[in-house]
Amino acid sequence: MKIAIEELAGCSGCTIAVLDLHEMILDLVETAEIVYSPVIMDVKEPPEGIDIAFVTGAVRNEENQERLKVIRERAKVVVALGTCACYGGVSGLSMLSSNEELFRYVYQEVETVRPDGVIPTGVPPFLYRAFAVGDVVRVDYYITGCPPKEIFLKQIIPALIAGDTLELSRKSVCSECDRTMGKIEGWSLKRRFEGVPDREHCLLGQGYLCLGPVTFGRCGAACPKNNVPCHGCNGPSLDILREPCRDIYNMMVRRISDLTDRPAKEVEKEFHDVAHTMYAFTIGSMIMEDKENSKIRDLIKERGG
Amino acid sequence: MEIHVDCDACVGCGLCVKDCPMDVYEIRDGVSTPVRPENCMGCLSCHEICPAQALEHRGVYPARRHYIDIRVCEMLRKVI
Repeated sequence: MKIAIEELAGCSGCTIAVLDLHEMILDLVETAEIVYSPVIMDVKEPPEGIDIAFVTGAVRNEENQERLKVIRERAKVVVALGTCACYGGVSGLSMLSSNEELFRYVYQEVETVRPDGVIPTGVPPFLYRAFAVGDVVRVDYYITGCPPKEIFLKQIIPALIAGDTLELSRKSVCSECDRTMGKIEGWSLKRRFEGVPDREHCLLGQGYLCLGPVTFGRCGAACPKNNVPCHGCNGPSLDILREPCRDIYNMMVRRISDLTDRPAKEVEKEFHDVAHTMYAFTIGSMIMEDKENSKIRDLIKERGG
Repeated sequence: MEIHVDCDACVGCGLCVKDCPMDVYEIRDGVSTPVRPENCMGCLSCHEICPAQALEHRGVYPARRHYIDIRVCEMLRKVI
């Protein structure tokens, strides 16, 4: 059994999440050989005959696209590992700027730029937009999470290698959260830095934009349990992915409006920077963008340049 | 109608109580309880509003109501 982990436009955190199996990685390498992973070993190209390839990161430039096609050809099973690979993730937020702006910001307006301003040649050009891995090639399995939590990887990876199936929760972050609904009076939306949320009661009920109800679980509600509102890093909950009429934005509006007895139009006025607060992890996904009531298309259109 | 509530998942927010047009639910001991399941007409609006996906109606499938994008179906089957 040969395993590969490919890196595209991402932060390599998902590969580190695999290393977070800790001692269990010893059992893993007994049954399977890791033959290619730029982050953890010095092999330049993926070999032929890979059984399972984990792909992390989104597809943002021509190199990403090329590498993804190569790994797809050489692997029997391709697993999109992490939210970037599944839904574009944080890399997708790059679509809020034009490609020229991005290039200027990353390569020209930095302190380490060469004094003569000469740009090295051979830099892979950007694609016209970000893509999730599944938008570009056929994917066999998706494992979401930014990064996927090791407590689940410990169950998922051995099962994948052994070809077993297992039953895991497929519910939202709220289903894993231990907070209760408090009294809702004089509700208004708060930014994260305003005040300190009370630990007992629902963050959404307290006025914080917690994306728990619209986000796939599997994180043990780690952020809400530490008094931080969910920012949606596991990608959309499966009901939002499945139902054509549901989207992150409209389901948040509906729930807040029902919870607070305020009209949806009024609730919407309180939102701030919808792209970063609601679509931070899904903006690069064509599946999420193609939903009829998705806001992603409008948000991208508003970009400068 | 057979309605099952996942008590571990339910956060007791009461949105289903508010949302149900047929007053099927009440909050009892901090969790949603279908007290009048015989009134349920299977509209599944409670499913839509439930933040914790704690509700299950045996034998009613939302997929029968809408066409679902083929790419979405493919992705759904593969999420592990």
